[in-house]
Amino acid sequence: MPLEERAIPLSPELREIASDNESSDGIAVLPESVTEIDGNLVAGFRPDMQAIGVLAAEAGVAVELLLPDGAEPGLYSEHDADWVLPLFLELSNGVTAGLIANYLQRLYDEWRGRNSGMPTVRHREVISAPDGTEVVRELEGPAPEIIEWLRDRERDGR
Amino acid sequence: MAAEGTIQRPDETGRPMTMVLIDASRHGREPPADELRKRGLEGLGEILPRLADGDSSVELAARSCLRDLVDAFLADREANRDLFSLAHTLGGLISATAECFWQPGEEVYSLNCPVYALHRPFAHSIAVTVTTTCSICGAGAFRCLHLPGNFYEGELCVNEVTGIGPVGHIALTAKPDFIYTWHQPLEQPVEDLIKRQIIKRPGDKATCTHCLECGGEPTADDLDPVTRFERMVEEGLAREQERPA
Repeated sequence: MPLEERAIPLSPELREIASDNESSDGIAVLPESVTEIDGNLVAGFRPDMQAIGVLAAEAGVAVELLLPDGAEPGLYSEHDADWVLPLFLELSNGVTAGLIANYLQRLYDEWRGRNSGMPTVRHREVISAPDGTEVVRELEGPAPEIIEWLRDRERDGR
Repeated sequence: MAAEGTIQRPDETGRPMTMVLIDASRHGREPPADELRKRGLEGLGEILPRLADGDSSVELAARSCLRDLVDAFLADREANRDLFSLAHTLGGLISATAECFWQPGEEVYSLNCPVYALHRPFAHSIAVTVTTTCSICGAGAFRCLHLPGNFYEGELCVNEVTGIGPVGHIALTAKPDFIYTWHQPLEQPVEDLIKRQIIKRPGDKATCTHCLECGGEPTADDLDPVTRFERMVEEGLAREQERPA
């Protein structure tokens, strides 16, 4: 099953957050939504971010949740492909791609021992298009293929 | 994530329908299919002989076991296809010993039975953001390194929800994040029940005998609800296109 790749325009709200932050050596993550809860501005991130953060801390990789001014982080939940990874700002080096691959591999190993079928994974990353605009590059496919794609990036150091 | 809530939205007939807002995981996490299967089968082993003897005192335990069997199937349909049939067998025994009553209402009768989730063509998912604190250290979301579902000095880590944001969108889907969203109360208009001679007048007792009548064998669609749902959407779109402007 081939990996399906799409380029999706970034919402104005997220474009503003992304343009305020440049990709770093670590992992930078954009929120899925920004909303108000009990009078406070809350930026929602996918729950997987917690486990990725722990893995990154163990590997000495910095993680930054990109928050609009005055916002606090919250948990965002919705349905979609089997596993939707957080919305990353461009992964700038092989270490970060490898870390995400390790996270997915761990998830897949645990899942494989207890389930049948094949989980679909959606990887999303904000990148600069050739015309300079920022777009979300979405890659969707079976877990092992996404892991392999990330491993290739780890090997190539990008 | 452990949060609870429901919202009302109209269904295709315009009647209000209750939807689970967020999964309320009974253990701070969604139990995996194999755990649900193990729990369901262990319960079944204890309950089945007593139900077969006509012991209705195990009704509550039997209904809890039924939910585990159904959820295990919904979590992994292919691996747990045998549970589809077992759930109907158990449901049939509950029906025969303790009976399954519809909840009477003025306009509709409702029934909350997990067995109907086995036949449902789609579940739902709601996009929502919540604020949380860690049950271990009290830190806000993503502010600590404790993992929900893990134990720390014997204490289970869960995200305790402190605030729920507005609903982003509601999606009908055959691939929901949470298996709990397959469960919806089944509703029957009083008028229909009278027409089908199940009741004579509103308020009369009505029993459900689905498990005694259903073959209890999963169809190809029951095993692959995603393809079924895609087909339903395509057929719906085709009908829309055929409709004169």
